[in-house]
Amino acid sequence: MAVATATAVSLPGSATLTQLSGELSRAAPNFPRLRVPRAHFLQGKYLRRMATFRSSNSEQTHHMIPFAYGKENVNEDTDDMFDELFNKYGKVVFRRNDKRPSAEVDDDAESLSFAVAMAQVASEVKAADIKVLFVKPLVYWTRFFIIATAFSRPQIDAIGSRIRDLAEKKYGKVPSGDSKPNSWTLLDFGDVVIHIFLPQQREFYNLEEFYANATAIELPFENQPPPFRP
Amino acid sequence: MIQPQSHLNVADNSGARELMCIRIIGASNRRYAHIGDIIVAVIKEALPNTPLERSEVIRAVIVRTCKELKRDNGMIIRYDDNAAVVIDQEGNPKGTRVFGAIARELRQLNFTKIVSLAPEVL
Amino acid sequence: MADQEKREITVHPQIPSSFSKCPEPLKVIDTAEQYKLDPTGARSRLFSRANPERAGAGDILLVTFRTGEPFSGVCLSVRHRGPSTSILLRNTVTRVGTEMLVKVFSPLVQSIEVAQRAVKRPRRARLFYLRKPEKDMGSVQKIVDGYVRQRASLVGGKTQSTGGKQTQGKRGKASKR
Repeated sequence: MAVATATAVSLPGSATLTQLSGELSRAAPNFPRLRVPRAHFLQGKYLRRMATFRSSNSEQTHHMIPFAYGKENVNEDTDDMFDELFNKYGKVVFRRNDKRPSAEVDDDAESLSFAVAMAQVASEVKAADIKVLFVKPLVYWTRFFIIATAFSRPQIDAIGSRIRDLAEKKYGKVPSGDSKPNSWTLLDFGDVVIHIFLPQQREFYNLEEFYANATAIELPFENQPPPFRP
Repeated sequence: MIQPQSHLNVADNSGARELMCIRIIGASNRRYAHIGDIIVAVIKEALPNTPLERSEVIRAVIVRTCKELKRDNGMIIRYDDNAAVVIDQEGNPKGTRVFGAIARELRQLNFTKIVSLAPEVL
Repeated sequence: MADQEKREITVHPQIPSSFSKCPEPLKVIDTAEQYKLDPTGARSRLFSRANPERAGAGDILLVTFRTGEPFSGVCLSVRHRGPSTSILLRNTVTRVGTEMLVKVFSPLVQSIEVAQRAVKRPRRARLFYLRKPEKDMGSVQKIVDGYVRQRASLVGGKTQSTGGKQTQGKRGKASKR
């Protein structure tokens, strides 16, 4: 019997956890880590499910990978151990999002291809200093930022309309955002947000500094250098 | 529920500290403003050596209210203060950074610029 | 009085009452809805009044939504209403006190975890006094981070984000505002 029965006295959370983790390290074998295939720039987010449900007839079990990965690790003792934990802390069950990590990575890849395509369009209209930032690890409301500089309002307008047309034709996405040309034009495609600045605005708002922790995506096309500022 | 004479904190680094609402943009005779509404406000307190000065009339977007914001999914969000971000006529924020949490509704109301400057979007 | 014709009073047949079949239809609907939203009963048990280890007012809860976004806070109240049970969580987020009312059985809620039980069981069910500055708990981020770290050491995985995603600094640690 691997685990001693937990006492009914409620201890402060942290103390009990360390105590239990001690028991776990003695009792339980090393559980193998689940590795998500790693895209060259993305790290898969993977959540672990804390235990198997005894009820194998639960409809959710088929798309959850049990923490005790592989049949050989699941035995009565692990079930008991997890039951102890459940009884202490309520159901600490976290399952992956509806999509598997690979599907999430696919989504990211899809958004990335969209973002790069848009950046390509912007470069065709001679936008300068295009940066594609992967901000998903930093914010929850979007995945990619595209920041570009245009040198005049008509150019901003042109970039905006070209991006809009391509997005609608090829991907069927309609952006919300500025329709009138603005010194900071923003096109919001949900997963991808495109910022088009005039040079002074770009310097003024300095989004790159704000999102300095975001990974910059390498662009396959030649990028024009930022405008020379004397 | 911001109405004329309501004082609001300023949630950005534009230079203003406190605003007083004088008008709610939208329909005439509109009583209250909520998160995402544009108001006309007068600056009651400003930091020195900034482009904005006291008793200047500016436009601002409300980003936090003490009155609950109800979402269709049943979630309700309430902040401890009333706050606004100063914007210009084009809709661009006058400051470069936003302070404090911002409600997600601003994105649907075409204030994604403010959202992209915000430290936390709830 | 004149001799009036005897008028027939139509007696309509009684509408069959389904009371005997189903004396409490709303209860039936609620139970069905609850089962649909929480088939395993795990979350119901977490908030069930019968459960002595339930999550209640004073506990620090971490709610993760389906988008992956977490929100944590001290629970000010648990409003028990069957399938529309809700919890009111309070936290100080970027120096602004924020409260969020979360519908416990909403499909948008991926998980609810107890990061810390109330050190001392509070003497009332609605802890609205915590809104006052002298009683305010402030930010629960440190406690939740500690809980997530311990959870990760148990589970053996990467620490999930706890809402400190942005506090790690979008700009990098060296920059100041």
